[in-house]
Amino acid sequence: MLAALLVPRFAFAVTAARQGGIEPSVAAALAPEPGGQPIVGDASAAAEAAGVRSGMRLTEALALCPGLALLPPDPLAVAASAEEVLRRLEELGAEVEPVTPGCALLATGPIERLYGGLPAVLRRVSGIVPATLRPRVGAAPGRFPALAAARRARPGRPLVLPPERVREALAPLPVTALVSDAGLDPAVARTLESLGLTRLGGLAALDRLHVRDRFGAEGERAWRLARGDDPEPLAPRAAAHALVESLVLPEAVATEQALDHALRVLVERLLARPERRGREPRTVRLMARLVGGGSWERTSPLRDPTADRDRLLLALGAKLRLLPAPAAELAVELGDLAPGDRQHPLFREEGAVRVERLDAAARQVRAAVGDASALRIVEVDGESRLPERCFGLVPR
Amino acid sequence: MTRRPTERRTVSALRALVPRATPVELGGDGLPRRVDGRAVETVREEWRVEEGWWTERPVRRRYLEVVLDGGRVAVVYEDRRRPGRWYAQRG
Repeated sequence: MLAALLVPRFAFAVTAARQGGIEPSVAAALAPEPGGQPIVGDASAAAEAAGVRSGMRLTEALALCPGLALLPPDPLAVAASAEEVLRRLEELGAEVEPVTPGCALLATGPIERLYGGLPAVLRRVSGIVPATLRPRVGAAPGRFPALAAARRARPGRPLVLPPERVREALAPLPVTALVSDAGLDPAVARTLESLGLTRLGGLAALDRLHVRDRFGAEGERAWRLARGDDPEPLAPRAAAHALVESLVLPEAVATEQALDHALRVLVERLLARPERRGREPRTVRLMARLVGGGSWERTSPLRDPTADRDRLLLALGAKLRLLPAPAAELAVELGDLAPGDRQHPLFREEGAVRVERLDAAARQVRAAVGDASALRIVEVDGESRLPERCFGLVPR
Repeated sequence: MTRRPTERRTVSALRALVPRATPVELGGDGLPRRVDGRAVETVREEWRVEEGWWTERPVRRRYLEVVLDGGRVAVVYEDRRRPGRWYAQRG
């Protein structure tokens, strides 16, 4: 069984709580990110009732809801709260996969005996998030059904879908649920809707071969998901290897010289941290708490792991120029730390430079997107008579 | 016999090497009549693979290369340790 924990409008709830709370009757939404697209973020229930949706253009949101209150976005607080939720779930002893901020999946099987059964595990999962955030918890055999169960569950009352009830429970859901919760190609969902197949029940009732003939492999995947068959395994997150230093600035700082100085102090503090143990970061993240509320962050993957002060300052300095407002606090994170004891040979074989560049590119992709994003095909047993044993995938 | 994969492989081609459970309907002669809902026109080749009988996870497979209605060639096998279970696989 997989369990899903879902906190609706997580970013809005965290931001509103940090800024003193918002009355439930007030229509409010997260303002566009400074320097970003003019689109609103998560909205309150009252704003959603007026038609405001996350990702909507600001002008359209204001036209639908003229009294809409806009809260400065605080991505740092949202990320910190999301991390806290994940950490508490991991403290239960479960493998946890983050889905979005405020939404995570975990495998309940290994810990059910520890806590005395599935209901006890789900109660603990539900208790991780304060009741004021109205967390929803669902459990089902598979990722998509578990997320669907969590969306259907009432706050504080976990919903378990046994295998025989999954298909029936999924039937009334819109086809677009497959796009948001299972990453289905939106074009397939649009085509299904245009043919009148708006609910998963209608899709599941079709013949598999007909669906595959008309929509290909992605259509067949949608058909299987609609019947509750989601074979995608849980992808638990790897332990984070990052160091963070922050500096509260004595007064709001906007001048280039003062910010550069603060940045230099932070980088030097980070490089001097004993727990770095000679390791070098592959990514750097610059974070700032802005004067007047809200926060801002930018991440930069490095071409090669480096602990060279000047190279780190160069990468971070370029991001610092994008700071949209005076900062009250500045922080730097060195992420994805790698061993720093590489030695370069004097002579290299032909083609070695190209292979090195390819490796560096793969590492950058992995640093930016995730470990599973760049894999290499290796021959495992080329002479095997079983085709699946000939080759394997390993991280580059 | 199974064809050997060439050196340059894409991930999607690699996925095709992994056995995929597939429904196979047999005729009276024990040969496939329908594979994954498609009619079988002819059986081109049949061979067996028996490996690892000395381990806890032996492999006993009966492979068939068939031509389906429409001309597509498919390779399927029956897991002889669990008769009746058929899988499609590209060699």
